[in-house]
Amino acid sequence: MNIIEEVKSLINGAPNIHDFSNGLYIDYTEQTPGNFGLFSNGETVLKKYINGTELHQHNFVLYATNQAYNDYDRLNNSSFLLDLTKYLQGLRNIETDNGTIEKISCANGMVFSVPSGDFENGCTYQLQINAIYHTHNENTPTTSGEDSGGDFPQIEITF
Amino acid sequence: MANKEKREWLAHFIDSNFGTGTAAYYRIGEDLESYAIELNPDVETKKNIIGTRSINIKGYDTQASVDSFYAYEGDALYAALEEIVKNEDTTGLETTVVDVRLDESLDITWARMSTVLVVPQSIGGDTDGIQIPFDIYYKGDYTDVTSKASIVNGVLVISA
Repeated sequence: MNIIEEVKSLINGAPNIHDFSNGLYIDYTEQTPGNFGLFSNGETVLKKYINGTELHQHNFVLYATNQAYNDYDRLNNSSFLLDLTKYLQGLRNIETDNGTIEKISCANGMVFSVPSGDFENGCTYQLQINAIYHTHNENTPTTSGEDSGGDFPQIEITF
Repeated sequence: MANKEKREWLAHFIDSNFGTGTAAYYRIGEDLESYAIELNPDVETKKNIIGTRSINIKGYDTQASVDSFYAYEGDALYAALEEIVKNEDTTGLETTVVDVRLDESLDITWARMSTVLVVPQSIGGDTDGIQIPFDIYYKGDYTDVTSKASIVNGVLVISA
């Protein structure tokens, strides 16, 4: 899975997600309670290493529409975002096709909009998610003796 | 304008077994944004009576510094360095390093081996992970191993 698919999968695996979400879509959301949309905002290269690998940050925004009829609902929604933040930020070393996710950070979990202007009809929350991952250079061996599968020669010295 | 030579075409390997048993070469570079083999040339210059300068290069005091080296699970080099740090070992620091230059096709242009001393500088670091940065001091006994290199089943072997 690439980084976008992996983050979608991780969110779908979050505790209690199915109590709040009827489905997580990519780059799509509806203004109906239970509708979640994960939007990719692109990525940047944070660092380049001498062995050809790189550290990238891929940015997302999660938009979650939930019922917000009363304080009880809204507290549940915000508490879910808090739990989702803790869950994502606790993940380490997740393998993807693009590389290994070293860590995920979340920010600005909050009410984003009230689509109809009336809380009784639900509101949309947002959560900004940044996935930092370390690429694998197909042509770079990590240790000698291991076949990286690429064309890069690995060094094994025998005498 | 010609393209720059990629940094990953100059590779640096260190024997994580520190000379005991079969060499197990570990490529330096993970988490490392910059690494240079500092030659530290010892140059003596003298003005002479004919109006020019005499320049005498006495040699090189070669060393390198790995200032970002994180512990990864199962990492043999880290395990060896941690053992040195734990015992503050001053005798078991000798190992070999192989510096390899590759071309665009990833063919070996040259490869040289040298005996070095690996000296850890500290242990610990920030919240990203446990680190042991270390310095490498080259003894200067270079051996050209280019002609001994071959690729067998995707693994480069340097034969006797």
